[in-house]
Amino acid sequence: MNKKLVLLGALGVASVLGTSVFGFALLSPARKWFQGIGGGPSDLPVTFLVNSAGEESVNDSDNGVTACRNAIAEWEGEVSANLVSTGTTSSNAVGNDGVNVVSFNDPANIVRNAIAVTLVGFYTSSQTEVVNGISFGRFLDADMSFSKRLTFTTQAIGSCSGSYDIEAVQTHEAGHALGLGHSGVASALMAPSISACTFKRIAADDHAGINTIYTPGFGGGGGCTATESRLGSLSCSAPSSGPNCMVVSATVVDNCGNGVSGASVTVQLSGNTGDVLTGSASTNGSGAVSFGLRCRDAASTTYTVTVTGISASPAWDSNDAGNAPNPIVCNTR
Amino acid sequence: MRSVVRIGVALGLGLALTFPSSAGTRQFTLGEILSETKAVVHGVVVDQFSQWEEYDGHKIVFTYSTVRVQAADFRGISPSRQVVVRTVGGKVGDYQQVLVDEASFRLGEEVIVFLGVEDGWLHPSVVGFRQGKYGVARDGSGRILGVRQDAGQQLEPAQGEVAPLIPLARFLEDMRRTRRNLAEGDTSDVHPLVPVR
Repeated sequence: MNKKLVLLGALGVASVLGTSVFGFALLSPARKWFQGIGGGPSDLPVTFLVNSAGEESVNDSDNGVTACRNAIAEWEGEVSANLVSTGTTSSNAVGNDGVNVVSFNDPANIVRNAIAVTLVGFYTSSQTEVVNGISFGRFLDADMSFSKRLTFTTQAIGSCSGSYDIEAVQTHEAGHALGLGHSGVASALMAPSISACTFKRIAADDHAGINTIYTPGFGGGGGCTATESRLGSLSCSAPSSGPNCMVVSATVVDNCGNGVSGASVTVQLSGNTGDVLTGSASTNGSGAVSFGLRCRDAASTTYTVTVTGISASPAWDSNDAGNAPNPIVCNTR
Repeated sequence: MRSVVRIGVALGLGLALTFPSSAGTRQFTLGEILSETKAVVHGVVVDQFSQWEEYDGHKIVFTYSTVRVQAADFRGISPSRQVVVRTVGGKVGDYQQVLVDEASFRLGEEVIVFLGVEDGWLHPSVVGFRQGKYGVARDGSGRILGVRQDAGQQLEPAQGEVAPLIPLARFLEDMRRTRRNLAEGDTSDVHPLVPVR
């Protein structure tokens, strides 16, 4: 049953976007807030209420409450529909009460080792609304909860050390609450990964995703077909502690900017005293791979790091102008 | 059966290290997942039910999936022939709740799952949400082809892709390498560079 739903959803998107390839994904089964198409019911604007206590680690005037409200409202500017409204509440309710609440400190104890989570609810046999050839069920409830284990900040605060941008995380979770899944485009806000002190905002891929859900007749706005792989980045670091005196990180992307998983990457390190090391490994689901130079094996203080081969699908174009610098020179600690 | 033995050997992880919880809306390294894992279990889902549960007057659906163990490494969870895994969300009657990115199980599914213990939870959770659960793929003769990380059934790639199949040999090597890295205090999941003599 699930396979059939996934396939139908995929066909729906493909029929809209033709040969274009986006990284965005919809929740599956596809769900949205109804917008009254064809005289049906309308849930818009969807109201999200932010717990007024806020997140205590955010060092601004209201513990990030306004920042979260503004972050949710970012989606409003991406579509022509009157999509969302925000307010505050003293409630920390996470559940099926029909009230969409943003809570902090994980009141339901469900966030675990995530930064934040989104819990959505719907009837499996609800009526449907068709947009851009995709048949959506109707959301009834969407609540978001932030971690009680982590600290958060905002871009306006400026300095950042180990904290997560509450605005980026909030906009990401609100994207789920509006019907988006995770994107395969690393630069998209809806990409599954975000690191501490990274201040991401809505990108073109996110724009295409939300408009696929809420803008009837949306044409895609420019797509991309993956035809070749490239070295997306090559960098190195010298960890101040631990067994590695140098870590080399690389990513493999396709020409659309999507990470290429399962690409076999070979690197060679040539030291300033003549020693040579090599390694080969496959990229993970995000197209990233890392190599560690153990301190016990580091005879030199400076190494020239060269990616000597990438076996990938689509095939690596080593001559492409979009390649990252290769080789690079790195120091050990 | 031979594959089960091989996986069982690989699950024999020398995990004595614990680290602070790593952050979440992101890709976990295998090292990060293993550092929080209390049991690695290879088995088949033989029972499952979902139910409403209350906290502070609010109701959330949780799902309990029973995995019959074929091979396992129990480090912080009592050894058992069956483990019951708790996940957030599920379907009760006509109503469904989905926690985006949570691991999802289905009856009869053969899985390898990394289990952790959460404060206040009576049953193990999946470490790293969907990233801590793999489905086992076999060919027509029953031989294990590889494993596939759970897509989280709530997510639908626009391209209709499913998670790539990881060959069994590579998965086992990743486990061994990560075990070695953890033993040396390295959770970054790096691949070792080898000196060229």
